[in-house]
Amino acid sequence: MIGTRRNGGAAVADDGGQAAVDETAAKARPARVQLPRTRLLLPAIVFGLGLAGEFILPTHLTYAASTALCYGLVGLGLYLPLAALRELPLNGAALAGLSAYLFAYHAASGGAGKMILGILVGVGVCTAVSIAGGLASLVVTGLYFTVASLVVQIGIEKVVFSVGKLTGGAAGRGVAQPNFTGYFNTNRVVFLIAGVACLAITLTVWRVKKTKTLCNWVMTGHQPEGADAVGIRRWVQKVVIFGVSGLLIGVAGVLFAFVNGTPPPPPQFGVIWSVIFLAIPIASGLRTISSLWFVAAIFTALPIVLESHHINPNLLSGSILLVALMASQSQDAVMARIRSLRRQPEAIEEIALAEGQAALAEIHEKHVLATAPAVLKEVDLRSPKLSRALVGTDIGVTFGGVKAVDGVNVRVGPGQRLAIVGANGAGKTTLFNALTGFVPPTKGTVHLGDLDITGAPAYARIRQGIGRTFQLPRLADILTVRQNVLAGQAQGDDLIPRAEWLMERFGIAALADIPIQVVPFGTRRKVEIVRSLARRPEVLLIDEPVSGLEDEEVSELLEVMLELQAAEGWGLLAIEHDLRFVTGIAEQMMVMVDGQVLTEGAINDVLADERVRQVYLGEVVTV
Amino acid sequence: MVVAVSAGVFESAVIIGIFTGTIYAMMALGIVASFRINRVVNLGIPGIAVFGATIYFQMSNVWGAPVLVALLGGLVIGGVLGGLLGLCNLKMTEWPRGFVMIFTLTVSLFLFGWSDKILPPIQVSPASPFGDSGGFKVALTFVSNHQIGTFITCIVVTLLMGFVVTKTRMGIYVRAIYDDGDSASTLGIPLGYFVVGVWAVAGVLAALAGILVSPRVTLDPYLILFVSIWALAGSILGGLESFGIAFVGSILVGLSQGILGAGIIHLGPGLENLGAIAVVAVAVFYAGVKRRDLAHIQT
Repeated sequence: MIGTRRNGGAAVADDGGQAAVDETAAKARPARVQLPRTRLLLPAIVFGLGLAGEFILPTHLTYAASTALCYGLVGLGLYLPLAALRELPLNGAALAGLSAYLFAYHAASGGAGKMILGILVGVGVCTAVSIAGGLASLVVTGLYFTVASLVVQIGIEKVVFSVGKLTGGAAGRGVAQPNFTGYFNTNRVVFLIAGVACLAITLTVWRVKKTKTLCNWVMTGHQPEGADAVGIRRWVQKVVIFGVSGLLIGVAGVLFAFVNGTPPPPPQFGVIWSVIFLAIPIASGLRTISSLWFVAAIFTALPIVLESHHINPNLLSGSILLVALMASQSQDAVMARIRSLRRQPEAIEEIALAEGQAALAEIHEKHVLATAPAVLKEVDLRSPKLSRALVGTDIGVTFGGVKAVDGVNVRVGPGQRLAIVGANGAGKTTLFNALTGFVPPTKGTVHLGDLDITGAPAYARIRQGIGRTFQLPRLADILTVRQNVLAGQAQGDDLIPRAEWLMERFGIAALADIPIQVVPFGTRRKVEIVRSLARRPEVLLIDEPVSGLEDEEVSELLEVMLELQAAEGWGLLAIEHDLRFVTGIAEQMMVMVDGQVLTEGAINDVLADERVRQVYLGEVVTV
Repeated sequence: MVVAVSAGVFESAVIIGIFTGTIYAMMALGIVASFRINRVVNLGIPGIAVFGATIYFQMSNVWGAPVLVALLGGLVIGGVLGGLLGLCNLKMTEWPRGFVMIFTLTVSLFLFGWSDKILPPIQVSPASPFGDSGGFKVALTFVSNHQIGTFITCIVVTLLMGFVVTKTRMGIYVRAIYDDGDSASTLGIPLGYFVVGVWAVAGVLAALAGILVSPRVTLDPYLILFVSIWALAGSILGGLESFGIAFVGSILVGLSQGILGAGIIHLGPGLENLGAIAVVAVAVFYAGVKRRDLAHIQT
């Protein structure tokens, strides 16, 4: 809908004016912080060397190279939960072994059909066990997840691998390999097959890393509450991550059996090997897949190179692990990037400030919607469903014996702006959490329009049209500003251009490509607001949006928020201590004391109330 | 599944289970001690246990030193290694805790390797500090002086550690560092000394565990590694924080293995570990959920 908006909004500029505005804005905008882009040199070298190995290496070393590919594939499988979810699964070897033995069990009798059945069963069971681990990680995380995965490793190792019928006993169970002689003998052909499989998988994972899926995965693992706040179904993400992880490890297991001709004996899938496999992604710095393959190659080559020195296998494994750990700390790609950016904090602050001012100048010059890209203007900015009110009735939240919120009624309709104030511990944030599903209310109901969302999980409420920010921004540190904003946004509609446009409007576009960890605190607050607004919320709940911000930044944020709220008509519920911001942003005000509402009404009436004055002067007031 | 209980079998299984659990508990105490200071799971414990036992074996069996001197030698080496590991921990404050945990496992692998180099290339069992002979029969099981000694030592150490942590000023400092190391530093508590000290104590406990375990299971690094994994499971029951619950948890793991291993509930070959694995799985989930709930309340 181009031209004018419904409901008496301000006029939107025509396309001719848009070009002029874009030009002015471009001039005023500071240069973006440049970051190193993903380089293809290392992957090309790694895979070039791998391919050359096919023709250069003696035949027994092509077998070693095939083993390296299997190691790398297990490492790649473990890399996903490790990098995205920060979980350390210590069961990679057992899963690979499980797949290898199940594959060999079916494929031993020969025939393409049996082989395919073996692959399906091996990879399928491995994936299922891994998915079960993913579901378990919804309940136990961190150290407890690691130990739980160790229990799975021990369980498979001690129970499943002790079943001789499965493992084939001491002799193992042979798997049919293609029979070739001459230069392209069986070893080389097997290496070629394994190489092609690994290359295809690597390219797929690499491609996924370039998509928004990565942002969702990282947000799920690094900021669970942040993920909920953008409507990400965490359990789905975990199932997908662990499913893919299990799939890759399962394929590696099948390759282990195929490359060897017989699955390696159970000790090769023992707990020590799980740690060594886990060390592969750790040593690679967790971010670059090509270096992961490089590390896998080194891990395989070291024992071969040092074979003649008869080094104790424990000392060798320990050395490999130690090198991996040291390497992980010295070459962590994200940390290196952050360290480099931390050397120029003034530059980042300066850019953030200049960008904010440029955005503000643009607002003064032109109505906020006039700067929206054409794709957004084609969408009716006031969607028909934007008429629902968020209504909390008789909300109560109790922690142990403490009534944090006690019988509070709150209503925020479309276009309304309500501020909640009160001393620390008054129950403001708890009320927010109860309304948005982050804390289950012990009594009362929450409705969005006619929809009862009292029992709905947080992500479902966000998907219904509630947006929220947190007192301390819940952003994933290792993601960039843009990735944080785009996490959870639906693909393929106008939400992504909208997110980009909002970043411009809030003056954070110039910092879009740098990790959130190095951006100033005020910018992080803006990122969280942009992230919520990008989803076109019907009601936005913001928790202390200006605490820790400079005066100039407060004014800037106030102006942008008011302008946008007036234009789009969403309801706004704000918690804030800064009375200047409260009086600027809100029409209505609610004062809370000890979990209850002291008073509420039009902002001037509330501020004139003697009891409110007392609350702000710290005097004891009873409701 | 076959269920067959003949006279005395159950009692014997329980006794075997309790003594197996005692062995796990000895290891668990070291794991809990080091976790209680800086929240790192010390997988260096099996390495120190093996190396401490190796030194004990070398001194007593090879060099002919008196058992007490050899015991002291093993414990001192354990303490020094534990302290060094604690010192390394202090240098790794920026590392993710999971990585530090893997680092401690690396140390174990090195110590396994060095033990392999010191020990003869055959399976060996050092002499028990409580003597290799003597004991009495309960039900169908012969209970040796070594088992009784290990059991009593374990209870004494558990009570002692619990007392130190809950009743002494040093224990209060350790708890303060565990809750919030930075805040503890601002109170003038020397963080570094305490971390190194507690890890050294954990090292001594590990070496003691190794010395008491190896006469039963031989001085095999991988057997002792598995003992430490079961011990970790036992200590997880208490959220890695309680010496008492770690002791009880380890006994439970041992009991489940004893009962299933004795064929009272016969599930088939290789499945005698199922009970212990189930106990461990329940423990991990219980502790993990409990921690999550606590974190929620704190929020």
